[in-house]
Amino acid sequence: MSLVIVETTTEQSITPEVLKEVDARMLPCLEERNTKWRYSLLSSDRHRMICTFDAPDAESVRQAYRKGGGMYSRIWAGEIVAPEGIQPQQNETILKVFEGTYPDGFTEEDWNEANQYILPCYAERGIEWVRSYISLDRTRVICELNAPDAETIREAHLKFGIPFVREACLQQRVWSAMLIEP
Amino acid sequence: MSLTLRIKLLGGFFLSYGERLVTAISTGRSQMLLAYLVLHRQAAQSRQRIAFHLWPESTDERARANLRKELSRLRHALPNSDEFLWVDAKMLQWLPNGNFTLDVAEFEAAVKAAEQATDKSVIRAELERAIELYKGDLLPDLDDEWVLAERERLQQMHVRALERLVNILEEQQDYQTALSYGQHLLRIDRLNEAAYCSLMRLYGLSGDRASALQVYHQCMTVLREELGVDPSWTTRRLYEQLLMEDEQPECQVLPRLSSLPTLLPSHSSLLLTPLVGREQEWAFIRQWASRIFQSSRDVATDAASEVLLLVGEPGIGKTRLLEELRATTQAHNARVLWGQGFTAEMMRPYGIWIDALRASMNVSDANISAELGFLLPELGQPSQASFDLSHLFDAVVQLLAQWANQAPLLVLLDDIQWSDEASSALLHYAIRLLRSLPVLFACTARTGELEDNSAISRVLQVLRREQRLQTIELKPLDREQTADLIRNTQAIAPSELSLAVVNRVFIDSGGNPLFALEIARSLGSARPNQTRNIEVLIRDRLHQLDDEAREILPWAAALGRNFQPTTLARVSDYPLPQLLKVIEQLEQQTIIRPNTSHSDRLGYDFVHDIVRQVIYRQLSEPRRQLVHLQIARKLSQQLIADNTLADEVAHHASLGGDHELAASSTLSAAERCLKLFAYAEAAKLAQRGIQHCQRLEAQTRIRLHLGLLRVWAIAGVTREQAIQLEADVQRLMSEASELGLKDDEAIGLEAIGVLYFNQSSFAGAHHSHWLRAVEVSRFASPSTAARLLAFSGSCLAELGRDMVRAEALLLEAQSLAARIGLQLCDIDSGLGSVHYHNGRYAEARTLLQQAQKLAQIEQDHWRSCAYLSYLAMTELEAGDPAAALPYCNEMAIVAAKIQGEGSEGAIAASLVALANYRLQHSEASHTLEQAIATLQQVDAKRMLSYVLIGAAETDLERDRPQLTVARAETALQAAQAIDYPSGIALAWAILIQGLLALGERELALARFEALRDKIERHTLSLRARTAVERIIQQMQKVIATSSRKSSKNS
Repeated sequence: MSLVIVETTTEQSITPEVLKEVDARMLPCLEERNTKWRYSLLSSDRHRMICTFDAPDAESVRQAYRKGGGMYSRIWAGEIVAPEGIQPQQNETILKVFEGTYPDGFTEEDWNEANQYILPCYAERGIEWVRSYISLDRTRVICELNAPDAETIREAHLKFGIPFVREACLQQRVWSAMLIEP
Repeated sequence: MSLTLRIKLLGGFFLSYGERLVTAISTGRSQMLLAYLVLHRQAAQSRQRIAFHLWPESTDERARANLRKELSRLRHALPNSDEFLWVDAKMLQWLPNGNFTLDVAEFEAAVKAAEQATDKSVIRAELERAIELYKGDLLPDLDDEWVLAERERLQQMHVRALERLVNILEEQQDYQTALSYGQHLLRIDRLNEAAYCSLMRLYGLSGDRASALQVYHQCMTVLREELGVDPSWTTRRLYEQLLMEDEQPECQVLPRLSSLPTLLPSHSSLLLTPLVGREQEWAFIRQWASRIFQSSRDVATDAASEVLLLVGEPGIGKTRLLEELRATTQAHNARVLWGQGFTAEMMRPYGIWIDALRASMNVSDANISAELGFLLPELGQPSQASFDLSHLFDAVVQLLAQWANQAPLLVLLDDIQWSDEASSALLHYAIRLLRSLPVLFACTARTGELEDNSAISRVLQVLRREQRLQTIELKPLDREQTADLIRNTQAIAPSELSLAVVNRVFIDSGGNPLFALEIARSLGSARPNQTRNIEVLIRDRLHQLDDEAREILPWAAALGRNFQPTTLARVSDYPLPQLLKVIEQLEQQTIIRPNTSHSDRLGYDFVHDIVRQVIYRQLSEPRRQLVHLQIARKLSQQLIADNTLADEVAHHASLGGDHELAASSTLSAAERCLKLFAYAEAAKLAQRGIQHCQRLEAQTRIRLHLGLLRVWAIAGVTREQAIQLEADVQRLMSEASELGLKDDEAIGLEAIGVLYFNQSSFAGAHHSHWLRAVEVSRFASPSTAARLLAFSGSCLAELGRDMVRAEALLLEAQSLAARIGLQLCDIDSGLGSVHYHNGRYAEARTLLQQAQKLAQIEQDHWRSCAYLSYLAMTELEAGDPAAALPYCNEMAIVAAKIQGEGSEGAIAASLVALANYRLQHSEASHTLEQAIATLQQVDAKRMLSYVLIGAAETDLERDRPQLTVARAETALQAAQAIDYPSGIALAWAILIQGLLALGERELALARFEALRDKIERHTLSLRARTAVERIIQQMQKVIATSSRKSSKNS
């Protein structure tokens, strides 16, 4: 099973709480492809959504979206990375999403080094790292964080000296998220 | 050496170091600080964050100062504190590797170990350990916010552990231990209804029914007091079952009597008149039904006639044969489902199924789909209306499959000439889907009346064409059989049964058993009737009944269906005790008889529908109207509690001349039909309701008329009807506007929205505005329902999975779409894929081309691409790679028009590469490798396995075994990852062939054995099935050669 991420950006508001025909089409189609929806994160302005699935491959999710008429901007297979030990729970009232794009990719060492420094930096600012999704080609990262506001996250990244993180700051997107679960 | 620090947070704070109790950490805040750190030990925590959590009400500065003070106390009080605490200016951490134990961690570890274990005894031991460790809730004396969240998480974990343990103990039949844990569960959560059910079941299983019943009463009391609700249907049924068991103590305590039930005829067979004649027919039916007791595999392979149809004139004995079949199969422990059509209920959606299912449901029916609640509201209505008809159909089919897996199942449907359209569609669906299970269907129908019901006629026509229908036409009895019938039923005293009497009965009745019995009864009575008319004979017999019986009969006849005494008493205002006496008399006179299809409710019906008709026709027109009016008004009092009665109320109100009640209940009934996707019934009801509107006063008329027009619009209309409908809506809307009826105007607007949406669907465009209008209407229109069915069906078909269901869904979609002249590319593509799967490439090509044209018109580029790829694959499999190329090229052009990152371009390129590789074009090998790499990159495993299989086949043909093996191996992995049965089988077969070509016999044998039994041949495409059969034959030869060699050597 792969972990598959679907990114959607639309001009129209996304209202997942209302069951629509397109959902009624897509859900069984995903199911037939042995694909299980885990949960989604919806931006508070309702124009951006990240959905996560357990699926045999990215194409299974892509086909279900295409066939069902679901909108998406990007679909990719990735892996999940989370803090060791007790994982903080998503705190819906202060849940934030950070998205980073690294066109040239990054190495595992880059990631570990950044974590070593940035996690205490987060802790100082009252930011809790919940988990991250990293694309298999390591060009894309989506992090879930419990943080008082988006600006604190941006600040933490900007103040940080590691090039890998600085690079992300240039193409980063941070937003408040609503959690939508099955 | 340091001592162990023991920390307990469950049930209260406790701390010890070695053998010594640590009491210095006694205040709430100190305990809280320690608890916070120890529960967040996996990472260092900032002082700011801790201070915020522990003193949320204080200012930052104050909170930090408090933290400093508490930290100092903690470090002082905690023995050997540096071993456990790491402190710096900004951060604090409880060191996870220190020498300490924590009950919360041990509890979580035990639960996790139980989750990961597979051995039941290990699971039980771990769960018992977890429950032992959970001494109480987390820090119950503290109520900080972060503690509450953590406490709840652990509570839920504890409850789940208890529930799981009770289930395991029940499985292990350790009921006493299970009971003590069940009671524990209830002490924690006294509103846990599932726990009450577990206890009732466990007490029942351990033979203590009294306690089981007490638990039910306790459950009922608690739920009523706390929540003001009654126990759920499941709990009630469990209680009823326990009660019923309680009523049969003799059988339990007197084992020598336990064999009695099998020696005695069943209750139903006691009620039957003897079966006379019909030897040939009965022998055939028995033979046909015996298949149900064969193994399911045999039934699946011998699918020639899973449906039996008995046809003949009224009274010829069709139902009697069906009853005989029921008695016989029940004696063999088969389950029987009995449904009955009624002429008055042809617009009651799924009526025949609702009655049949309701009669057969019992408490052991676990896993009932929520959608079944649409048909049987007593199960609880699903919270959300369904958009997808297949959910409703599947709910019924799943229940039938569940029953069939427990015991062979026989579905008997009497008088299907009166079945409603929705019931017919469901019957067809169920027949298709249950083909592989031990399920048989037997129906009866009147000759001559079947043709009037186009829906059921269509189903029978398809079944006949597919050779799944066996029809028996019942002929009249001969003279001897007629004589036997009279003799056996003792309609005439044996002393008076002369040859002349037999001749007369035979000639007058023409060998019709019902007629023969009426004549015989007349001849055997004090006042024989000379007529040859069955109606007159029945009427004559009715005249001989006493006044009370004759007074009651019109009510029973006007009800139009089988009835319960309580219903009859209510509608006729007749006292129940007196009524029961009358019923007894009518039963003795063979006018009515108990309805044996309901296992738990006493019901009656006329011995034959002809008797009902005779009684009904005897009523004068005004009397008939009054009877119906009273029935309608009495039944309407129950409408709020049970809206399934709406169609009955509408029927009686219409015949009773109450136009307002008729129009309003017709509207309710029609709306219910929409919820159940019964569009034909909804449309007919709407038209009927509109007729009643004309006589109503303005406001009521406008409201009901617009509501009915809206239902009609949703149910689907042709283009011509739509024009008229729109004009009617507009006219009523302007009337509503003049009268200031804003709400009614809104209904009209919605109706117009629906009409526009459906009309635009014909042209293939999707207007989100009108789509919203349809969504607002809360019902799925036929076009929505057809689209969803087509979508689900094509989804399955294109995946090559569950093709029987795919085809059934697509055919139902086709029939719905045809109602409103809708063309859907998903239907053509889905059915095309079914043909492709079955190796019928010419048919597949035609349908896929049709689908492709529709997708082009609709400018649905993705579908266009998908269909072009299927067409290319069809050509490749039909052995014409050159013909695949134009499709691939066209696909590449369309793919470029698709927005968003996709895989279409990669798929087109890979199919081109494969076609060229098969055609041995230059550079093909290199391009193919590139295409495969791209498919891997976009993570499209199905297409990857397809292309690799195609390439491996080519390699094998061209004597490149190493390449064959490498490609087949990768293809197999990809196909397994996405659970693609045909891909797995093909890759496996080619892999073994490749290994054989390499001379790797042992390896080939090992790989062959590894998957042989896992491949289910009936799920495979024709191509894969052929490859599997070929490889099995080939390997059998290899195995035979090897064993010959080894026996020679030995």
